[in-house]
Amino acid sequence: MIISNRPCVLDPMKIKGPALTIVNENCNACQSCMNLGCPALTWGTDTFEGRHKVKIDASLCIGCTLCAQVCTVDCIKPTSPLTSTPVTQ
Amino acid sequence: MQASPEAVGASQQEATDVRPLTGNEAIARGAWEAGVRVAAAYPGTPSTEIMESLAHYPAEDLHAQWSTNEKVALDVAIGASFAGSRALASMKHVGLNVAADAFMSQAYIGVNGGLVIAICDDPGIHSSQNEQDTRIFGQFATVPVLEPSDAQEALDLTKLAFDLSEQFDTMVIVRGTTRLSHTRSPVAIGPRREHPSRGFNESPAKNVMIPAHARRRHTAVLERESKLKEYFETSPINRWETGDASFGVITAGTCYPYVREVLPNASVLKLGASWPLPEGLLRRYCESVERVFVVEELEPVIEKELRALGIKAEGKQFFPREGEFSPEILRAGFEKAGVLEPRPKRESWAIEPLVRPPVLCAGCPHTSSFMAVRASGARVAGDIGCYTLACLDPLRGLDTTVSMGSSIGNATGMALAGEPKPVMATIGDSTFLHAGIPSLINAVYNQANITVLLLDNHITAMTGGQEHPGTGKTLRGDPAPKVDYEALVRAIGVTWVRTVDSYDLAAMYQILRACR
Amino acid sequence: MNAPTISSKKQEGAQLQPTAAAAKAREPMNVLIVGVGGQGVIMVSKALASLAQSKGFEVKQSEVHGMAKRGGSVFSHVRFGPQVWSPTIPKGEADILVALEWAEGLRWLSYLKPDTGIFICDTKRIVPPFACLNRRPGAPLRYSRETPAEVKAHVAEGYAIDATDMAEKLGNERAANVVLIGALSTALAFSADDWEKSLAEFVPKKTIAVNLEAFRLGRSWIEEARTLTPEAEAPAARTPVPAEMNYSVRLEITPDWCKSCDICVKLCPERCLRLNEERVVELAQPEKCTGCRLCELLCPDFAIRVHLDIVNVQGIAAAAAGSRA
Repeated sequence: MIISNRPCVLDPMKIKGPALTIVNENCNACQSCMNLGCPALTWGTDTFEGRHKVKIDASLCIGCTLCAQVCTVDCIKPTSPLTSTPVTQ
Repeated sequence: MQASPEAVGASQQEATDVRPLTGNEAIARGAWEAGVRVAAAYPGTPSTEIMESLAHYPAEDLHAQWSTNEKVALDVAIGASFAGSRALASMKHVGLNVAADAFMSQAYIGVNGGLVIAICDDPGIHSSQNEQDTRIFGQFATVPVLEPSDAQEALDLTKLAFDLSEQFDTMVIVRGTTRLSHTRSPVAIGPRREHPSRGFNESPAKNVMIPAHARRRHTAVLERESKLKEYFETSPINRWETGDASFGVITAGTCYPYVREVLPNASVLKLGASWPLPEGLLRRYCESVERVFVVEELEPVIEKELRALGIKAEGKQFFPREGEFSPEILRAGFEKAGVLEPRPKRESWAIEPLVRPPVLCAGCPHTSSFMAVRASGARVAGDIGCYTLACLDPLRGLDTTVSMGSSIGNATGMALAGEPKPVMATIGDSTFLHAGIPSLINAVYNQANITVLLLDNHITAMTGGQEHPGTGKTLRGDPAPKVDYEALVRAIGVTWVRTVDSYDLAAMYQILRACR
Repeated sequence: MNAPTISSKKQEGAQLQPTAAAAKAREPMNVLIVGVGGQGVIMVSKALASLAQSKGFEVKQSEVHGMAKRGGSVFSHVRFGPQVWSPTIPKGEADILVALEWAEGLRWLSYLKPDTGIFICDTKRIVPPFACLNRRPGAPLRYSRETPAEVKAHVAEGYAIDATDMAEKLGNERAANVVLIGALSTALAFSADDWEKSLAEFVPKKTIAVNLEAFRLGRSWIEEARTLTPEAEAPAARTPVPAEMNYSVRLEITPDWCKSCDICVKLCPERCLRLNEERVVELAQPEKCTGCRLCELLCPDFAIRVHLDIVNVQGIAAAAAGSRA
């Protein structure tokens, strides 16, 4: 039995980190982050090997860092320094 | 008897104020005005706002609660009725399946305080797993079904339902649909009329359903049905609106405004109650017109009843048996039936519509849970909640979804049947409390080799964020004891329990690999 | 752009009549408001419904809930008049279609009255994750390609407004829906004062000022747009769908280095890899492979190399330019 513990983003006590952004030059368009299906992620204008690099809509991003965790070239960075966001109990 | 807007509103005697209300808000208002003392529900689109709206009325007037599931909600309402108070349970159509055990027996017992169940069907499956027709449930249990066609009627019929419940000693269903629930229209509202408790009625022969009692009660139920039929022969909620006699339309509920939209001058028999049906009225009406059409969403309940009476009625050959109706669908049906002139076809500009399915929110903790689930390579039995969306690309993380709480039982069955992949059940916190616990006990008891992933996001998210016993708050926002899931599952006999932050993907991967 | 449905002069009085319906006085005014979850579609329809009701009309406002919260498409039907039956607007009978998002506007175009319907649409594009799932080189974005000029040519009266940009310039992107209310207000016979009063009830107190500004901006934008002759706008050509590129992919797998961890198998977006009998990775469905290199990048032991050959390399730039539009 595993309990994954993290409040819903619609939760009234919304935890919101700084929005993330993609370092465009480093993005290799592997679209690993697109595997998440996050609505804040869309195709950018630039391409690499014919595939689109990704961009993050800062107005939708809540800074959960999941895309940064799956990025294969570590090119997703917070727009301001991260502070820890503990699970609210 | 021609319908007019005044006639629609004329059913109000003590109207003091007109407000724009949704169907759900009007049902809540109607229950409050009828003096309801106890109301219970489990959230479910499109019925959720009934209870949310009731929670805005003063706590001294009524107790309103989120129950752990629909059966519990109905049992709570039945209890309040036993105690002599007026009570309401509200749920979506599939919620009645959960509550059906209590529902079918309570149909025999009847009521003490008025007992009304507000049920919202979802024709068109906007947000459900099926589009079953609750009217058949009413027929099945021999319980009357009232069908409001707009918010004003939702209020009026809910009030009437309480009176009928006490008058005929029966539960009464007020059946809405998504369109009624989520359409806002002006409603004349009135004051609350208190109904002091009738006190408990000590009558084991009526209240205790052992076989000997139940047999006698069944006779009473059948007698009640014929009395109700007689009542509906003359009840003003079954409205005969005269018009052109070349054909007539029998309809009820949310189909009625569509009929009027398409056929403003036709003869219409608008039924306020779709069960039981008044035989005499139907016969008289059908004799008054040359052809009879039945317009009803989903199942041909009224049409079949007419045919059983030997009346030649037309319906489902022109109007679909699935999906939600619209003025276009009715127009097409009446054109096919030859009573409306076909409109000239307009050439339309073919634009391929953009595919825009609902998705998990940005930052949704389920996203990472299902990334990890996918990487674990398990066979996944899913459940009902936002996370059901993880069945779609790109996550494609779950293999089955049946009904509330099914995941753990389904996973147990898969594992015991020898599924070669490791078997996992994923279930949300609210769903787990709703119907997951008995199946978890069963899985432990029968020692099924499965992994259960409890997706605890501290809310009932799918329906818009309602409290539940795991959130530490009640419907009205008061503090309440909070379920400790770890202690709970350990008490059941689960020995390996881990809690993990789903934003920590590496930890999620590791832990899911560890339990394989 | 003759606009019989637009009444620019204010009509005050007890019985306001929507001018479009003047001939058939009993027919309701139908306004369809559409967008994407979270954009404020419901707020627009509530403001309109409340205003119409305060003027003594029978109003029905019907919307979708539930799944819509999660980024799905949202629509709200508002009908008002002396008498309203169906809560939903029949197809082809909407007097006005207000869209808060471009592709959503296109989705509902067929609901507009063909000869008099007014189309008011934000040019804002919200691209759903579903539109970006194709990893093939040069794959086009799956988003509507119709241009505003094309749409205008197909509707009786059409306006494509950069409402979100306008609201952003005012300092609050979320006021885009109110810019559209401003535009909508010019097509209905309610006075600007009444609109502003109704709006103040439905927006958060702190944002009343910026929302009123947004409302006036939307109103004046339409009035300006109406003075332009249609010829003044050059019909922009639709961007062509870029041709899919010809490419070939070969996976070079070093079996000795593969430790059967199957990370690549589990995380391949196309799910085209598998472990063979020797528990070494292999490309099971070569036709599905897009050469995205994710397996190469994820393999902890460098056992996979992806050789991607794109035949028409010069097509890349063209394709990229195409999908940018």
